[in-house]
Amino acid sequence: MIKGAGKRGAIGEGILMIYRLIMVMFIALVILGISSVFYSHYINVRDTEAVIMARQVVDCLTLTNSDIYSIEKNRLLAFCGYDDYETNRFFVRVTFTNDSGKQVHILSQGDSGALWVKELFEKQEKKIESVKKYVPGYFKEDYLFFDSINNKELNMKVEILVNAEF
Amino acid sequence: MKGGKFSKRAELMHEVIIHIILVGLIFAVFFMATSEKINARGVRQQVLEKQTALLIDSAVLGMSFEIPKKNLNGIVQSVELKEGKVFIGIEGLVSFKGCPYFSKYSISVEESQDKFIIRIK
Repeated sequence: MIKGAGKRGAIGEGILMIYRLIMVMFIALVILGISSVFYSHYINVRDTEAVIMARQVVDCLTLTNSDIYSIEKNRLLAFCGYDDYETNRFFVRVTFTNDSGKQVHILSQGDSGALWVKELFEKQEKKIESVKKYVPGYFKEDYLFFDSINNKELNMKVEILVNAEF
Repeated sequence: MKGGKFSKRAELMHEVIIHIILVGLIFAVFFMATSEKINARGVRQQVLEKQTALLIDSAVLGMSFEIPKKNLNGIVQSVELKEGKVFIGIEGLVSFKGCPYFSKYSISVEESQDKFIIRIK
């Protein structure tokens, strides 16, 4: 008989058991992780946020009877009183046109490249569930605006895009 | 010989007991994770945070609204506003992500005995 062989064997078995346990724990964690991804439910309110923002922008421009020509062209939301950290998910564009459809003035804020991302999502016919939650919110509507500087009525096209919050 | 047999049996029993305990622990972790999904605290928290954020988004100056602690979405433990986000704790579930809001007004939260009051100033 070899002295200490039993002890060494027991240690070896113990190490093997730790290895097995680590493997089982790892597999369990992987299964838990995957299941949490599949079963998590995401509620998308970006379209609603776009509608609310559109109303706020229209109120800001019409109720205060603003001189639209004095507003910094790409700082519309800052003019309306919003902080940059609150609006970094938004792209806002307000286009003023006259009766003949000619563009008179344009105001905006945010990254216009986000519109390209939106078009890309729209082109995708079969939306994959995991990608769906990244689709930006969008709202576009035409309103009438009275230009008090030139004393004439203009058409105001408001376009709002809201990016994902993560 | 007899002693050897006994020690082998004891060793085997020892191993089996440890295995049972560990399998039990893993099962408990699974059970806890599953129950977490079934009671959907996370979803209820998300619903309440998004409702609150949308209310703040559309609120006008001077408005205030209440969130009862005994809410339809569960027991509300905390309502916090940090860096343009609403964080609501429900039934021991702390909110890490929060829900972003936008407002041109100053927003504050007050806690009373049975509700949280959000004021738009």
